[in-house]
Amino acid sequence: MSERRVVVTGLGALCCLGEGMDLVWRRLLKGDIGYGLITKFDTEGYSSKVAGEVKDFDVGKYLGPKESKKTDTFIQYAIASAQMAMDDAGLTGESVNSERFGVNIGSGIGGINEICEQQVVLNEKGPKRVSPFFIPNAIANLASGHVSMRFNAKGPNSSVCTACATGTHAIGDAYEYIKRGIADVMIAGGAEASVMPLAVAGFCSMRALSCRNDEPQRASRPFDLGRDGFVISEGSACVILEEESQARKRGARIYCELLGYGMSGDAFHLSHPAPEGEGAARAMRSALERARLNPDRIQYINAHGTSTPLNDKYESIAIRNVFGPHIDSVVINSTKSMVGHLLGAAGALELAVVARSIADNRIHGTMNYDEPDPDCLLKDVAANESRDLKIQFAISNSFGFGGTNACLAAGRYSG
Amino acid sequence: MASESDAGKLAQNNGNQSAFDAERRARQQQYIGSLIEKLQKAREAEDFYSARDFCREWLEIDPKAERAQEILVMIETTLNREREDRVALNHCQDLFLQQRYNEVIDLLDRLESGSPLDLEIRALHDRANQKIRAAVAENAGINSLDEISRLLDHGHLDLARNRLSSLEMPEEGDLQILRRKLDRALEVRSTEKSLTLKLHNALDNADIDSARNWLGMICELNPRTEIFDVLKKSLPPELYENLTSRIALT
Repeated sequence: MSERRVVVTGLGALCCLGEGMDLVWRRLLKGDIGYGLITKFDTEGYSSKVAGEVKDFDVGKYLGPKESKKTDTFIQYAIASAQMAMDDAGLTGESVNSERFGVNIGSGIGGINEICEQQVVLNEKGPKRVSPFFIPNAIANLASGHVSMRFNAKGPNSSVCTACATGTHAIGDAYEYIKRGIADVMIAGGAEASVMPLAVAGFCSMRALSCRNDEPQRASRPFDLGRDGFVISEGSACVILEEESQARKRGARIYCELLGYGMSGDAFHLSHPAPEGEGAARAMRSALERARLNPDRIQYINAHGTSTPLNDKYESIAIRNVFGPHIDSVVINSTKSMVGHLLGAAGALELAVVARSIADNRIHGTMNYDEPDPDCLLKDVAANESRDLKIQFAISNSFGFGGTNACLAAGRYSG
Repeated sequence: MASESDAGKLAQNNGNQSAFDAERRARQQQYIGSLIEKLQKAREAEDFYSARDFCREWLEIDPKAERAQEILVMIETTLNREREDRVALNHCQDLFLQQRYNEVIDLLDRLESGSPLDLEIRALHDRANQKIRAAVAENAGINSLDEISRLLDHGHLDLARNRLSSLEMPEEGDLQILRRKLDRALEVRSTEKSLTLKLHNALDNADIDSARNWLGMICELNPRTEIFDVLKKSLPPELYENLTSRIALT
């Protein structure tokens, strides 16, 4: 029996650059910056005042008024991006064998907005006034739960919570389900609604966020010498993964093929990457091994590229260690330079970007790259402009607090 | 209630956990050691930006490391000082381009010593000083040229020559013109001396016609010659009258 293959047939995205992958992709190619000064709350006293906010989101397009009241923002974002991905794939709940159809949408933080609101209710009005929807809104797997109900997906239903690697792990795990024959179609991705006071304050305290408040649109500058932290963002991205023969049979448009998935743990520190980025390197090697690709077959890397001093330095070292001299002929970019860091949704959006890059033979630039950092020895980071690039194979990296690392390898679908 | 075997497993797990923790801490300490080494080298090389990065990494791994906190404060103080001095230095460079050298010196003198930009500050200070010295020398030169010109006009050629040779100025412009003027004056004086000698020889030989001829040539060469005063004092009035009556005095 031949090995099952997994292809990407639908993309959905919602972030500070807009709603819908086509719009987001166009704006990425244009070099638009989606983030800016925070408008959702008063940032007086916050060291970082910059974020990538989802603006003008009309939840009514996806949920009725009652449903929207019962769902936290991260769940609403997940439903929206899942719906967009299904539409893009040309699928409906009815067109898929429901028991072979699963969902794996993760979230780094989950319903933190709901947690904060209900804490206030508890403090001010007592335990009996806490909403019965509090727990279903707060727990991270309810994004997968709501999406499965919406599309009658009765196959695997799971959720990943691995900080900034969530989206990549969610897609990687979903890939495994199809690969192993547990499912034929998966909605996979990540959702996050963390542009809110407590989350921003927490990351500020960790000194993880950029404080370039006087030039907010230049705050996220991956691999640049002047980088000083990431820009927190929110939104969601989902992809539709399908078993290849089934997708081919129904005449689906195939963006790319998922070829490999690698994971590793640093077992080193809560927030500091392992020395020499060795954990990240193992994740990349593992993904390439699973994809049966030598590093010299890769043309493009969508880096985790957060714009924090440590991530970019150690990711660069890890990439160089994996790719050796070949790295000088690989183009590396960071989507976060334009959309900021969507935390649990970042990896999903970035895999969607990789899928579009492969399909369109075009990559976006790494914006705000003014002065190369000698600690980040990457020759070509697509500095500040998009360009044509014939891509046969690519990888997408994600690394999270707690020393969790994930990498996906994708390639042009060749039938 | 936990059985004996459960308690044993718990103890074993705890033991494993301690071993893992110890191993992880050892790796962290080893890494911190390498960071401290790099930090020291960076500080020795006065590469404070790298030093700050290493220090921050150390604190990322061990946020309570007091030594790292102390060093970071020192480094950031230095970097703040550097930033402030850089602003001042840039302003001084602008003033320098505007040729406001005295203001440059004043401002640079106000920067305390021990600045991380000491080398650059000293270099600009030296350049501004050089410019000021050159300007003083140039002014002094201009004054000297005027004086030499006056000496020449009054016929004090030797004095003028001495002054000219003591000037440390490039041989160009007004100085060149003045030197040509002096050379010409010296040449005239030398010719006049030789003609005067011939005039006196002719007078000694009572050869009045030749004497008159030499006197005419002297007048032509130097209309402001003082030979008439000399002759008037040394010759009898009739002879003086006879000698000079046909010389056109200007």
